[in-house]
Amino acid sequence: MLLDVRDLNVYYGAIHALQGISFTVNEGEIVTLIGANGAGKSTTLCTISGLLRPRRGSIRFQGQDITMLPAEQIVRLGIIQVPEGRKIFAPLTVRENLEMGAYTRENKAEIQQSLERVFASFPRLKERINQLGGTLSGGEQQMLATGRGLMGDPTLLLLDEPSMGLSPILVEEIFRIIQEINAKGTSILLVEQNAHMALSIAHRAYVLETGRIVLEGPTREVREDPQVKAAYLGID
Amino acid sequence: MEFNLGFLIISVLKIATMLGWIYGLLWALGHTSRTTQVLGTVLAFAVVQFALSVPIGEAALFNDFDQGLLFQACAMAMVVLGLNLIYGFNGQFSLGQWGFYGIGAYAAADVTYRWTGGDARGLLVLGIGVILGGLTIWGVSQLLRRYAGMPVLSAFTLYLIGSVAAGGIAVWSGGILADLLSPLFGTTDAPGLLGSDPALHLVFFLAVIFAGVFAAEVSFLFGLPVLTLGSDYFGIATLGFTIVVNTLMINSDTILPFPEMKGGRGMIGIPKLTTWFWAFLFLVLVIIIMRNLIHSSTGRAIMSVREDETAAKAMGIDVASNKLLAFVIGSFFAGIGGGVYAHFIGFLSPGTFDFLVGFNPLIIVVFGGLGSMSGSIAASFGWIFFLEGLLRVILGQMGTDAPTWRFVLYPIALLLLMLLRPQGLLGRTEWGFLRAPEAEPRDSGEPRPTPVPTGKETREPTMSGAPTIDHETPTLHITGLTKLFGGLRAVSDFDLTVRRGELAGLIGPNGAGKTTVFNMISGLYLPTAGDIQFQGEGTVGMEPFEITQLGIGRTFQNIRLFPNLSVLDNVRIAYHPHAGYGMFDAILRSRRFDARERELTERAQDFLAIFKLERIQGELAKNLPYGQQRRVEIARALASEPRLLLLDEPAAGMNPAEIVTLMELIHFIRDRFDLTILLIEHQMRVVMGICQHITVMDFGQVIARGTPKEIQGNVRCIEAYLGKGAVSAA
Repeated sequence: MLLDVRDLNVYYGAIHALQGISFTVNEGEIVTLIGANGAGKSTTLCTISGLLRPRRGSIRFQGQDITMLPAEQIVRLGIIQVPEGRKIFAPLTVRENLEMGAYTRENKAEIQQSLERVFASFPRLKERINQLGGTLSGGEQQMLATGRGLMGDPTLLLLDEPSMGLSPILVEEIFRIIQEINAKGTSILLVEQNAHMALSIAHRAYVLETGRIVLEGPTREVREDPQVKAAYLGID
Repeated sequence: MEFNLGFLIISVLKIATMLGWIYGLLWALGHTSRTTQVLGTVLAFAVVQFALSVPIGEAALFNDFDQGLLFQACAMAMVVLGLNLIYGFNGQFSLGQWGFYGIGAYAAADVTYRWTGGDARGLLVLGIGVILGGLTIWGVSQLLRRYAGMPVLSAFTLYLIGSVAAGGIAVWSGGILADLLSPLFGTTDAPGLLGSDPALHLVFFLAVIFAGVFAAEVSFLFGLPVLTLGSDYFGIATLGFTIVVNTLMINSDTILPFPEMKGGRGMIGIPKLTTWFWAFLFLVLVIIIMRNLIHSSTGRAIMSVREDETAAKAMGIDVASNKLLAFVIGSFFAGIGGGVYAHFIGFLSPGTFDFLVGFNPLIIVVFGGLGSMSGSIAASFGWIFFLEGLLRVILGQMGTDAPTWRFVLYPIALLLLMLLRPQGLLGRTEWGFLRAPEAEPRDSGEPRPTPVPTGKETREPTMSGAPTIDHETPTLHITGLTKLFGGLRAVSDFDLTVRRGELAGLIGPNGAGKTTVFNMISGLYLPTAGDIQFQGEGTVGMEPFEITQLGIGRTFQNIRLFPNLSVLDNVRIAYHPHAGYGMFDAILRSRRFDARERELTERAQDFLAIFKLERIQGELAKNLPYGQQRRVEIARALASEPRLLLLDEPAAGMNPAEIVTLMELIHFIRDRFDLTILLIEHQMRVVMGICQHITVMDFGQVIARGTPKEIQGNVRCIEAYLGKGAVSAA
């Protein structure tokens, strides 16, 4: 078991945002969290990556308890988050942004290799390599954020809405890329509003409602659940 | 040395009592019943008056030393409240507050000093000067309104010439009038009408008010060019201002024609007119003005500038004017505080107004909490009583050199407090009177009629679902629009016509230039070439806030709410240009203010209800999940009463079920508010489902136009953008 989350409770002030959720990610898996806005999906990712602190519960990664580790150490263990809303470094160039993603790595040759891989996945970024991140269009920034995440050579990649702001053709592309990354051995925890696409590429899914997991299982089953169909797939 | 425990206990009790007293005063002022307000305020005044005058044992409960601290604390509270308005509420980092405090102190002192010497010149020159100066500033601003777009420095030159002329007239006419009045002072033995005590107190009151207005006018002239700098540079410029003012004080008898100020030796012989009555009166006055301003449309506009200038502009708020307004009012408070301060020790030394001492109000405002008025007041009293009062005396008992340790202990105490409570003593909490008046949540029982934009004709919603489109007058007509960023051609020769009532879509690959087009329509970018006509009026070159006021509202791709304001305030801010009441209505809480404020609050709540946000009206925008933030942003854009609404990826971050609701909503608002809508969106379900006309961009150019059906059949669009899956899914 790669990631083991147990009874996670997170609060924003008085608001009980995560009310004891437990789930796992196995080696080589794509696991998706789906749920409405405010269900706690992003909160879950931010708690795993150490940006938020749980009040109760534990997070184990490769058997090690990382619940209280600071975010920068969690990155070094191989968990990398691509945050919602891009959060790229606006005054840095595309290349510098990507290099920041490899901040924890030493081997120059390997970094170069990752860079080539990112450019192969997102040719647009190569075209804009010397442009400042802040001047990219929204969709390009999303590509940059995902590319930056890949530069850290993650063992577990936390993706928060990777398709947001991407054109339809790129949405298909990004999900293809996610599968590709996964095929090369990276496990993925995916949060996505595009539940249709997320469920079509993930192995297992968890459905969150107001801070609780209400449904879990292989995506085949989750996709057929009538409530999921109505609430998240927009199929009556 | 002997350590006096009794003194320590009494001092701590005094500080606690003062803080409790402030809380009580604010509670009384904020009470719903008018009787309690008045009685409570009088009682708050009387309690301290009692402590100051009634002896216990040999000394009064509050001895002379305490009285000095008390007055100093009142003056400091005024200065700090002003600084909080500038820095905490408006977000402009200023070190100039101490300079304006000094200006107020010296100006007021000069008036009363001369008056006690039988000379009315100080009062007349200052009075005539500030009135003429105010009229000049008002007159020039009216004049400039006709020549929109004048460079700031040219405008500044006009204001400066006008003000200097006003000052000259004041000096000349004040001198003549003063000579005429001098017989009325009488002699020391037989004082005349003007030499009497009541006359002196009236003059004191006028002197303090005039000194405040004078400081405000100086801040206007200084702020007009300097506020165009970014906040950091503004901080440096204001620091320079304080140093200049201080230097002028030191040389007031040589380079300035004020021998009575005695330059660096300090001005002595100022009548000690500040009694508890006056200190209390001015403090309460400043508190009331500040609170009434903050909790009004003007206050919300001021705060929106702190939160996000671009979003404020998009809400039709004139950012530059609102910065200036906050700066001027903040300086007014500092000037008043200076006037009060000058008259309780009867001595002014330039050393008091040194820029290093000027960091005190800055520290206090941060310590009390940026954006908390109660924090400012409490921290001012706490600071003065604790550090100047208690610590100084206690250290004094421990040895003659010990008071110097204050300057080591202050920073350490401050560091510790900042580490333990970085948001300041009170964060953003307010006490009693200073709390925002609570807006009654819209109860779900009795539905109010859906809001209707004011002053603009409306159309009943068409139930058929096929709204009538006026083919005669295009709402938006763009020709040859081009934008270059350096060598990059972001938008190239772009044409677009959107007819009234139409729901138009703008789609294209990422980086095609869609948002750049939006930014040019809303005025955030100046086009390199091309023309934009909105309802037949050219908008190129207009300020963003003017374009919003003209009737173009927008949302942002990456969501630009005002994160630290409530959901309700986010929406209410959009009403600022149509608030229908001015700053003075707000300060005086006029009938018009009450009526309009209630109306716009209700209307904002109606918008929140449409978007199912009424239950979270009090939440801070930053605490909402993404999808709700988007809905707030659309509600806010609607509240700016647009005729044309630009939506930049409204469905991003929403799940399929929410997207269906959004589509219905877009239809609904278009019909209900007679809107024309242009939207950028990647969700083909939305674009193909609701748009009547679609324009496709790639590499800054239009590659296709047509109905959803035509676009879906267009091979070029499929290859560049849609992909095969999207076509079949839509």
